Amino acid sequence: MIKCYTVECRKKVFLFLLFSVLFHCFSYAQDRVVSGKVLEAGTKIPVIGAAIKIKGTTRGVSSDVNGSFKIKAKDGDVLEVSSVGYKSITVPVDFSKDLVISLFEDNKALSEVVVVGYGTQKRATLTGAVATISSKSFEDRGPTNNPLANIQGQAPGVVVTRTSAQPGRENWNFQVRGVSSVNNQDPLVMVDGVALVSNNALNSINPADIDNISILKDASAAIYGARAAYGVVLITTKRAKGGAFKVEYSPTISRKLIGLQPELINLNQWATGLKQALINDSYGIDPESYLWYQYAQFILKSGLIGSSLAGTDIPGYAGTLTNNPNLRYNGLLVPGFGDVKDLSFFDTNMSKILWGPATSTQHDLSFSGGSEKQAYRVSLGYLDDASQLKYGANGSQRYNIRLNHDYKFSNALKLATSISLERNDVQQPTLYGTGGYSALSTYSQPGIPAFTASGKPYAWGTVYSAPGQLRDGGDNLEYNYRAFINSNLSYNFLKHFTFTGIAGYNLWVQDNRVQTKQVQYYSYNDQVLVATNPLSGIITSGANVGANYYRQDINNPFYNLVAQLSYSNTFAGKHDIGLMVGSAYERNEYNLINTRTYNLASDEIPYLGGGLTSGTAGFVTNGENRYHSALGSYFGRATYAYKGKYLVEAIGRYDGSSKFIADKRWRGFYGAQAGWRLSEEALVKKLNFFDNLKLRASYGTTGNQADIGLYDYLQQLAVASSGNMLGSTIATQAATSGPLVSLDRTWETVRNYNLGVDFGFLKNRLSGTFETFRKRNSNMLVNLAYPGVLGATAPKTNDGELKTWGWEGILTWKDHVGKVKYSISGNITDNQNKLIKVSGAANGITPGYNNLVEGYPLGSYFGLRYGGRLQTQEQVDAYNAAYYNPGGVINNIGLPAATPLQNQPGKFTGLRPGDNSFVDVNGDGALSTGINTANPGDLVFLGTDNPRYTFGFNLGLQWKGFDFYSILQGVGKRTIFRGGNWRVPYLSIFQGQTKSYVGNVWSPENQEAYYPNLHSALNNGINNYNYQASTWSVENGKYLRLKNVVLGYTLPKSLLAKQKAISNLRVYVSGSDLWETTKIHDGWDPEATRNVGGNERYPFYRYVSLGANVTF
Amino acid sequence: MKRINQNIGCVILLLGVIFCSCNKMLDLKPQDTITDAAYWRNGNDFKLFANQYYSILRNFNSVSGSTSGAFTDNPHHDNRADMIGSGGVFATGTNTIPQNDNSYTLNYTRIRSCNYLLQKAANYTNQSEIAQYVAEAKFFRAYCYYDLLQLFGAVPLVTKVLDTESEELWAPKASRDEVVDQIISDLEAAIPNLPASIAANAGDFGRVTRAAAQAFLGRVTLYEGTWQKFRDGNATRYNALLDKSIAASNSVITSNQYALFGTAASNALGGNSTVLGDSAMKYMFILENPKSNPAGVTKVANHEYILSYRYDDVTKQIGSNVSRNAVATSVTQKFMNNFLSKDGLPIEKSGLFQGFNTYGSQFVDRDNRLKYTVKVYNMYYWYGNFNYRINWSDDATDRANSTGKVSQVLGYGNQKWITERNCKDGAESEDYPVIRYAEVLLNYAEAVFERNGAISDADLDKSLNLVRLRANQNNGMPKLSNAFVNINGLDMRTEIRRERNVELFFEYFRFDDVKRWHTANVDFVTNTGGTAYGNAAGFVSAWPVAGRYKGTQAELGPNQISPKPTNALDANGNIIIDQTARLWTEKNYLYPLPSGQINLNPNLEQNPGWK
Repeated sequence: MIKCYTVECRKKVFLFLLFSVLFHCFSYAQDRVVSGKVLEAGTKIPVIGAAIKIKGTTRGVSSDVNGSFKIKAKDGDVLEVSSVGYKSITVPVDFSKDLVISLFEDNKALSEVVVVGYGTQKRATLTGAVATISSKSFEDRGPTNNPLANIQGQAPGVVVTRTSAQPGRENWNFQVRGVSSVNNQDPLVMVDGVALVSNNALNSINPADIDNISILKDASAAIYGARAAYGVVLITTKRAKGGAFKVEYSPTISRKLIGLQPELINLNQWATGLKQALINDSYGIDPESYLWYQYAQFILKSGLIGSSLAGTDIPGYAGTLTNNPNLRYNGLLVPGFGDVKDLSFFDTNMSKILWGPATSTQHDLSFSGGSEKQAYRVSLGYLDDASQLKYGANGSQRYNIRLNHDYKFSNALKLATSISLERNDVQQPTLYGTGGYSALSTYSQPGIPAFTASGKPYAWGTVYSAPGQLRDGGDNLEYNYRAFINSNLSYNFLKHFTFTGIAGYNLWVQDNRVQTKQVQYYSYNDQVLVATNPLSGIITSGANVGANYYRQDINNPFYNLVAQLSYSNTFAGKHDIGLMVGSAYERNEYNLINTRTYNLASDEIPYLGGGLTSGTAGFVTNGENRYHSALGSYFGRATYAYKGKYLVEAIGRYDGSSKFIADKRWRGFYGAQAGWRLSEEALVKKLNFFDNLKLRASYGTTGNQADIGLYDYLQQLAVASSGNMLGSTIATQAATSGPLVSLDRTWETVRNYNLGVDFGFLKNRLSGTFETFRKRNSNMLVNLAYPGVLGATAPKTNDGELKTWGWEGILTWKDHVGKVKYSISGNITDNQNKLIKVSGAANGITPGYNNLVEGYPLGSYFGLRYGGRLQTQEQVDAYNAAYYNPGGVINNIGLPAATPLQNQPGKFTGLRPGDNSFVDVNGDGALSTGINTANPGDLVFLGTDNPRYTFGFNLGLQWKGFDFYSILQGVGKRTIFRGGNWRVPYLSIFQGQTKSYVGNVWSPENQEAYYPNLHSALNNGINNYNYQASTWSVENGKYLRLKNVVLGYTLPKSLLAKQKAISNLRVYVSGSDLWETTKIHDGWDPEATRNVGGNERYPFYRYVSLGANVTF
Repeated sequence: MKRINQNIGCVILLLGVIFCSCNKMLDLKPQDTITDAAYWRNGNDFKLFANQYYSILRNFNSVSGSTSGAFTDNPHHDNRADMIGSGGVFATGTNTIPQNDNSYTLNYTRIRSCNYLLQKAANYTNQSEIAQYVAEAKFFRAYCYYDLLQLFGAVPLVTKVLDTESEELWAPKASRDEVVDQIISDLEAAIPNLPASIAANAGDFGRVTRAAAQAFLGRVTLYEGTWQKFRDGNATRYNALLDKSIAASNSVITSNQYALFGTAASNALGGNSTVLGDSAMKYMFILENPKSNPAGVTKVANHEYILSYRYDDVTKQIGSNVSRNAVATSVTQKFMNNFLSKDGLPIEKSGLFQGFNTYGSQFVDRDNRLKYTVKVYNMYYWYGNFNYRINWSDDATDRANSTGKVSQVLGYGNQKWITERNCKDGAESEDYPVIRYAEVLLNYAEAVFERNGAISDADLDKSLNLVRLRANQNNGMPKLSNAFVNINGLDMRTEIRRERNVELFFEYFRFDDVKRWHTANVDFVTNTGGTAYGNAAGFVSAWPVAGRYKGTQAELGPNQISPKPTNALDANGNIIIDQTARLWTEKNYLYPLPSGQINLNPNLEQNPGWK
């Protein structure tokens, strides 16, 4: 203690204090302003919003629209400058001049943190095959009903396909590296660490909430063991990073335009083509007495096109149009369709009547912010997806609210919570697929109007107007509610040790209300009630189930608990070690109840119990379906890296499933991965060529338990109505249910092999990855065939074998030309498979599509080899002589007999010039379709329905405030043999025919036409022969499509600077599926399924969108 | 350090809790089905299980595993024989070996369900409580093996529940005799444990009765007895089988539980069916509880159906187009000619026959069953949902509404199974007779004749004549007797067989009868006869429109509506429907086993002649 009693001393103290105060003041005075500019290295483009912080303090500013900043600092301070997408740097302060700080673009590929199973890893040291998709993929794409839509063409190894374009039911499917089994092919999807029970839940997730997606393609999926056989998709939702309160709003409005679907011919073309086909079928003679010929003549000659002729206006009409030579109109024979009440000749095109453009909107609004202790992001989403179908209740809506919240109890203890409430409604007309001429089946022939003169549903005999049926037949309303609640507690309880616990609860509730109303159909002048369909209110089964109201409720909770313990440490600065062990339990509970009431008192307000005879047996039906399943797991991972150069990783998982009997329930899965970062080797560094070069290899096993019963190790008895009347009632029966009990089956195990190389050259401007893989499922669950005396279906047993192999690559070039930044990226994926063993017996093959054939890929087509068109009668005669009845055995390819016509001497039945010929491939002198692979006859492999060489090209450009982005996507090889009868002109007479044949049909003058001689249903033997599966009739499914194109403009900050509210504003226009090139003949979209059945009939659409991104 | 240890302890504990609970939490049991282990606790459990067997019975929607609906082609269908047209490849003999055959596999599926109950029954303590259901399982097992026997002859014999490890899967066929003996032993074991009778209003009405099993035994043994007899089989064996058949049918007759519908004996058992007179036979096949005949007789009065697949107007409509499909059935001239004139003589011998000149002329003075089985020209009938009888009075209103009368007959139309009431498609509810008393009587007569080479007048009166005279009580038709046969130079066997053809038409007996009689090489390879085309009878379109004209549509010309047939005519001016080209060899008496089954089990031998 200084004793200071003297004046001198007191002076000193005073001076000291003064000095201190002065110094203090001075030190403030010493803070001077540093100004500078942050620019991007190379392009010299200003970096807007870069964070400039004094190192070691919390003081910071951000750069303005010109990249300029001003910050107070003092001598010796160091500025930390960082911005998303750039490498952070530190710069010592310098008051002498304006600082010019150049930020180098971050080599994102290397520093990116990649989400992997139960953890994260740096891209640089990753050893598995993991594709990542950033939130960028979900931006600017217009209203998006399923995030999968935007993944198409974006990740190598991932093939996304869609089967429908119905709003809410688009059935997006995706496959990671092809097939792994003949059973279910859905990859496992985890959202924030909790599995989805069904990938249908992706229909209700808000794509705008997705931060990134990781797709585990190889052994790295082994950590998810039992269900990882088809790959694992990890979706991570956006979380706030803390910081200032921020509001982001993105509205979008889109116009859906009808894309590719078969164009239908008009009435005149229909009648002309029909007449020609009928004359061909009648060997050149006009079949005057044939009803449809008469009809075609009537259309062409009556001059009634554009009007309707009521039966009552025909002289001699007596209630029905009968075949009566005296029934004439303007001298023309009236075709005697017994069941029709009038003849209509409107130039209608059912596909144009049914389908049209629609407008969809999407709004996304998010609030985020936080403090030292917490961060939150609340997001709201709304999507109104309108339908191309123009009649009835149609469309889909999605409502989302999500709260992602992170709370720090201490530096060691953190809690991350995600709550997402989702609702997805789908509306469709109940009868949209009912009957032979519905919106989803064969369209009626041209001529038939949708509605009568006064707007009632029209019917022409049994051809019921589809629009009337849609409009008046009732609505099918589906409401899906999903709640995802997920808490993740991490506790860094000891240095290097972290405990993580995840509790997840997902709930799916579906409420489905379906009303079926009777529709009454009238003649065009409204005078005659032609038909009522469904027929009555009391038919409770069969095709004509009567008017009724049906309601179904599903309640499906899912629980997930995970506990994991991890350890990571670095020894001696060069040994990085990471260990993780954990366990998990998940359980799914499914409950469904449904009930149906017939004979409703009122169609206006349908409700259960509102039936006139409610409670009467047969007028109310009830059902219930309940099941549950559970999965218990232990898992672990060990990683080791030496100097960041030599990387090894081991993965293990031990899974138990309730689907298997106790002693076959548990099974281990494991994986081993290794990587070598060559670019870190001194030798390679010296080359100064590679910025990044890494070799990777992995091997691992993954499992599958899909597509088998939940309790198949127990013999179950189904108690149900026997349908048999004993006494005066229908007796209840008990019967064994399902296939035989399986006591010895277990998980399918897929062995995965992967080899990969990651590279970057030329200052990482060119970077890429190439990988090749191989998968083998050698204990696939299949139904072996047993002799029929077994009397039951054998259970699926682990007896199948499937081999899958392929490769994929991605190459990205990023650079700038002056101030224009651009990037080009291309990726390609190919995989093939071969079914090694599936049935245990000879594999039957049939012409056309074959799902499972040993020795061939799944979904293979077989057919004859096309031998060219028969051009002359001599060729026809020689062909008939050789192949109709070789060796006394009649061919089985439908080649018709050539017998002389008694009433047309010199002419023969059967083929004629203009029909197809096929090749005797096996050289046995006969044309035959064989029955199995051992005896294929002349059938040859035509290809597979699975797309090969799927690729995507992305091009991005940025210049000043403008940004441009486009995606080209396509498939290099796919074979399609279309089902249904649209592909064959006049195979069915009374329906709309597709325009593709018009002008492209064989005739002596047009010998090179694509289509053979025209034949009608009168001679379908020849039609079926010509169009049977062959190298000619299969479609080439390759295509190239402009998947997406976006042009955006970000308003300069200077414009926004005057007001405080909006900090960032970007507007854009975007187009989806605007253009494509395809080889398909029948007019369907190249992405359409092979059958285009049911709701696959919804035509794919093109999207033009206008949107904005606003930040407040 | 202590704190750290605690932390680690906590974490390990937490992990451990999840670990331990896992295994227990993976044992999940079904929630909406019963497991076998929790079943088989009382007699009712066996009864419920046996209830499923009643779907096996032949019915309007399924015959022998063919499920395409009523009166469409099936392995026993008359259209594969010679009484109905259009049997496709089976009527031309060009059928080939199928890869799969549901008739084969479905029967074994059904046999498995029978074996399943029998296996469970073996371990059940109170046998008397379940005796009836064990008997039912045996009856239905016999029923399925009989179907297999008729279709394929010898087949593998499975009498226990198999699994994928069972050696029986790969076993060869049992011998034909073994299969037959299994059927007989199952039936004989079942008979004593089945109820002698079940009252028509009882809760169990419709279940198999003792008489049903006896009648079925009579059918099987007659089938096999004659099969062996006409193939030079062992006389001791076939005579024993025929004896069994006679005894079994006789016990049904003497039980007095059943009687022909429309007879006094039937009235004595309850209900009045004689009120329908001659036409009782016609209305029996369309007998429903809603008014389906002029007298409003309901099913209670039916004591002829010993075992039937039952339907009900309210709770179980047939659900497939019965009347509509039956309407489309074309009857052959050969079948028409089977009917005797009312003097008891065949048309070629009878002075009463009016010739083929007109459609209607053929119906004059014939066995009444002709007009009740084949549509009569110029009469009114149900047709579709709009034309039907209102009161069966045949008055002006009734006629006005039943405009099914056709002025232009499109060939011979079947009448059996076609309702006359107002009935929407699929809403019919008449029962399907699986075994009816008339067949038992005819089986008895045939078995007696084949066993002894002769049959007494007393035996004929007790059996065949009851059937013949039910519809001919008042038209003076004579009984069949030995004297009548001798005087008129008839053949007793032919007359007994004729009775079956006429009475059991379209009940799927003819094809199997001809097979067991071994006469297909004569019966099937004939002209089955069409109608006279374009003659005065008013046939504008010869039968059958889509049937067997010679030539293809292209040959016949573009006129679809009334194509001109090019067939030759017989002496009567009727079109010859040439069946002589039908391929029929010894192999056709049995269907081929499906090739898929032979592929799976190489020990399974294909039936002779099929390669």
